[in-house]
Amino acid sequence: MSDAYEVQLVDSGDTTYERSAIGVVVGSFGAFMLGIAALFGWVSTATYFGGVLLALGIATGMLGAVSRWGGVQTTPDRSPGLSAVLIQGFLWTATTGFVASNTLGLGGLGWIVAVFVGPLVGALTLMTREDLGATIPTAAFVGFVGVTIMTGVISPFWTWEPTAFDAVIPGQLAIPLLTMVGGLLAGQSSAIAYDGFGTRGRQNGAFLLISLVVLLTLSVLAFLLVFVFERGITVVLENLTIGAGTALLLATAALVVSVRGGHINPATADGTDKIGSFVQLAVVTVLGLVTLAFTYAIAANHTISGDTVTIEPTSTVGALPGLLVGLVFLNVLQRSSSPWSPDTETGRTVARLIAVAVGAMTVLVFLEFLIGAELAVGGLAIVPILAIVVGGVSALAVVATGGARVSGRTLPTWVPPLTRTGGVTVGAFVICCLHAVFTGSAVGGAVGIAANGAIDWPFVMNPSQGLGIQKGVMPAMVGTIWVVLGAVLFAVPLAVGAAVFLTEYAEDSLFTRAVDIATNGLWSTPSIVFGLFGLAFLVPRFGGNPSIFAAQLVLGFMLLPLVLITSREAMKSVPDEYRDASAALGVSKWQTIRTVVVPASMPGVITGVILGVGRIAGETAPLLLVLNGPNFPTRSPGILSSFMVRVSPQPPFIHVSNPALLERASALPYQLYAVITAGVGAEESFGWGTALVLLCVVLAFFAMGVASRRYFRSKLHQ
Amino acid sequence: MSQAASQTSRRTLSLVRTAMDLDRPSLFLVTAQILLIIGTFAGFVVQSTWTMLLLYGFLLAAGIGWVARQALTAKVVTFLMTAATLSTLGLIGVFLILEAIPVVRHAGLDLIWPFGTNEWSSTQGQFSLVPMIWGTLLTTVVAIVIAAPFGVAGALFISEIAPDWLREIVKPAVELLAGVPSIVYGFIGFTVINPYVGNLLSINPGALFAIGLVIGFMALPTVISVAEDALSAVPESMKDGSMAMGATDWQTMKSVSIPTAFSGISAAVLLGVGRAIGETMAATVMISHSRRLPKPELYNAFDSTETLTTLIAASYGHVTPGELFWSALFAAGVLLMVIVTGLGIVSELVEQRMHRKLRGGQ
Repeated sequence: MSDAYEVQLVDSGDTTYERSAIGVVVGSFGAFMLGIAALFGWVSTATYFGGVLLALGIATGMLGAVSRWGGVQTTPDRSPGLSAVLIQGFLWTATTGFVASNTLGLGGLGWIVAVFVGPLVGALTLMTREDLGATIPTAAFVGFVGVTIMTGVISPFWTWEPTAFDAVIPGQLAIPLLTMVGGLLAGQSSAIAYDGFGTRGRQNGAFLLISLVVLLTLSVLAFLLVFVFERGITVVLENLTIGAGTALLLATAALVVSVRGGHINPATADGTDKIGSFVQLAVVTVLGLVTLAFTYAIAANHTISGDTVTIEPTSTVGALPGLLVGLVFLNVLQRSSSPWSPDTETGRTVARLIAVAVGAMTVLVFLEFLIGAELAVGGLAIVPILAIVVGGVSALAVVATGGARVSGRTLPTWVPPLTRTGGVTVGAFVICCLHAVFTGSAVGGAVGIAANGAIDWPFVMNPSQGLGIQKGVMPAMVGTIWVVLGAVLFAVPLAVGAAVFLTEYAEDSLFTRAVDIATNGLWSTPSIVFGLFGLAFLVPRFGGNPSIFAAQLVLGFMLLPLVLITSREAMKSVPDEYRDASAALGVSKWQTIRTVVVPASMPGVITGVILGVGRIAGETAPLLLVLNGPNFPTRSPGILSSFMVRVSPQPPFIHVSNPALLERASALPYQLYAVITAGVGAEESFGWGTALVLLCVVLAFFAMGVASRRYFRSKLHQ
Repeated sequence: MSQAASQTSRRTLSLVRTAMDLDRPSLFLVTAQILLIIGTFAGFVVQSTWTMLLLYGFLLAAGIGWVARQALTAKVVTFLMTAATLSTLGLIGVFLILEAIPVVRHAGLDLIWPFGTNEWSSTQGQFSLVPMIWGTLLTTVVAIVIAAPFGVAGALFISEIAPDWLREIVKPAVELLAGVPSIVYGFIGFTVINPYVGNLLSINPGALFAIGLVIGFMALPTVISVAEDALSAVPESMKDGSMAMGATDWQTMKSVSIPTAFSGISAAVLLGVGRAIGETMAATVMISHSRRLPKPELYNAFDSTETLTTLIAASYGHVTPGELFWSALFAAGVLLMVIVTGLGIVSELVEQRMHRKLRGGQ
């Protein structure tokens, strides 16, 4: 009889053996999840955990037995390999040791027995063929543990008090942990069995474990974000009141930006883009529905109120939100427009008129900013009327252009294109909003622009302490903004300058190597050491107590190595061809650096700055030492209004100072720390809200940095 | 060493030659700028009233130089900025040591010697950092037990196992993990983890074990990114050669990639250790701040004591400048700096060795 047998050329994974192996893998994953659920308290620990483990053990053992004696064609090696032997040896030593010394009461003798039993099992594993050696010992262990749990030897009420640790380990911790370990082991063995043992099988087992580790890490991250969001969102949104007009404007702006972002056709996208386009389509749909809801609210004069959020049916628009939206629209229009150069004399006159009108409005508005009061003639405010007139005319032009396009007629050539007239209309709107912001007077009546009061968001806009008000994080946010701004102004020029010198001027020498070591040392220095440095060096020289200025400098020192490293890499990655071409044109070295290298490396530098700011915005330890503000501040630092310049006969003869910079203040991460030190229970919800706001700020910076890095990388590869 | 010395002397000579080539105004401007900024710095350090005036002088000289001799001024100013970056680390070291000297004079080697009077009692004038060092050691060991295997596994996953679309999701997710502020981890640890572990194991909240878990999770992204860089630097030719011999992906990883990148991976783990040692806020809000060695056994990680970083962070409000307690905090800071900088230097050397090995092997 010839030794003929059938060998499958293509492994499609659908034999019964492979299907059962997959089943065991899924079962082990289920056991692992069961253990985690029990640890989180979603499922209560019970004896059926043992039954699950026993079933898994039996199934794993059967996989090995069927492969050895059941005629299933697998490719096992002669031995399971050293790693499997070590794992089994360790497992069985530990198990035997615990069982012998604790349950059987043999004490130290039990461990001596274990030292023999464990290596014995290991040797046995080494000597058997792989399909038995990879499954039977694991199956025996898992089954043994299962029996132990099922028979109540380790029950949910079991305790173990080792004398070395002052802790009581209960069955409610031991059983889920054992279930997780059993699930892991059984899963690995059955994954090895799925691919028929041998090298491919071991690869499968290893990949399963690694993927599980990564999945665990990412789920902890996701869980963390969801947890903070869930606990903090109610506090942050408490008593939020928006006017429906403002809400409608914001929703419309978001809708326009999302639609213009493109890629909302999932049918034509592929790969990760498909997921992205689905998400974008969902976002656009939601925004559209929300816009409709707000329109309905205004039309029907109906207040929408959720749990704590209220949307009032006012048709006025807030000045600041209107300003923001107008600037966004202007940006969108500017990016999609091409310059308009009219041919006819009328066209050129029209263009000049537009320029004059826009210029006049801008100049008048900034005059109002400088004066601080309204410019009025005979009781009528000039700026709003001028803006309304100009805006109205351009709006008419927009309507006319739209109507002409719809009806197919052509307009005379002196009518500016849609983007230009649209831009003028939006510009007029922006001027009205600026007028309202600078002078504090409303524009228009029921349908118009209100100076303030459109959005009332207590959590973000209130101070942290005061009679009868809801606690807010405004002082902390203002503190964070000022400290981060100061740090950026201090560190970025220094770092970019040093990067320019190191990449363009310096050659490899002791100096550059020393700078490399110093930069790496600075980068890995703990943040508390920076705080100590600030306390020892900066604080005594700036007034003797903690201040915003000292915090700005300390955070600047922390930002320095981050920006230096990224700027150096950005400048190094500017191709030498750019510099060579510039030199070939006869440009001097400094001119090349200034006009070619620095602009070309700006994207990388900006990305580095954004990511660095995201990191230092969340730093608390240095702020504890050098900012050290009140735990619950009652007002924000007012820095812009406190600059003073004095002349005195003593050195220094010109004295520029800002007392507000030398005061203590609070910052977002510091506020969170203050909540914790104030004691648990009283302010915990406020702490969750602060944590959510801090997380949002840091994640916003991080998202901006990643997006800018992707955008610039894609531009570079074009 | 003699090569470096000859290099430096050659460079100094070329500098002097360039200086002599400059015309009078340029030489004057350059000297003025350098002297004025050194003067400003010296004035700042000694807290003199002339500092601002010297600073204005420097700004004036730099402004004139920018208008008249822009390229030269740019070179000098960028050089000064580089020197400033270099000097920051030196400044930190110097000033920390200056403030730490009083307690070193008072307690001497008892600060770090574990077998003498290794107790901390600020009221009795006993300042020994040994309990704090031991606490840092325990938490770091637990943290590395988490961070090293998980980190290397994650790095393997990202660089070798994951398909392209999954890598694009996992890599930003890991960076996101690195971006979460440590105070947020601390807050979650304080409000959720501490009570849970305390109830479960019937211990006082703030076990060093739980703190080590949190810190390990925070050090994980550092290990993952540096190890992933090391694994990606393994030449494709080596991996292709292994695959051509019929090895599976996993065998290639085990026998080719990991041994080749081993120096980089060890550098990654060392950097993770440095990050774990320097972690402050998460530990400060979770720990119980009892400044003693763990009871009943030294290795009892379920007890809650104090670490170097939490000592500094928790004592800032209770200490006045100039007293021994203040100086002891700075001594703890110096110790932290020495340990972390040492780890950084070792990991840098290890990484350099790997790069040399890889370049030589090609």
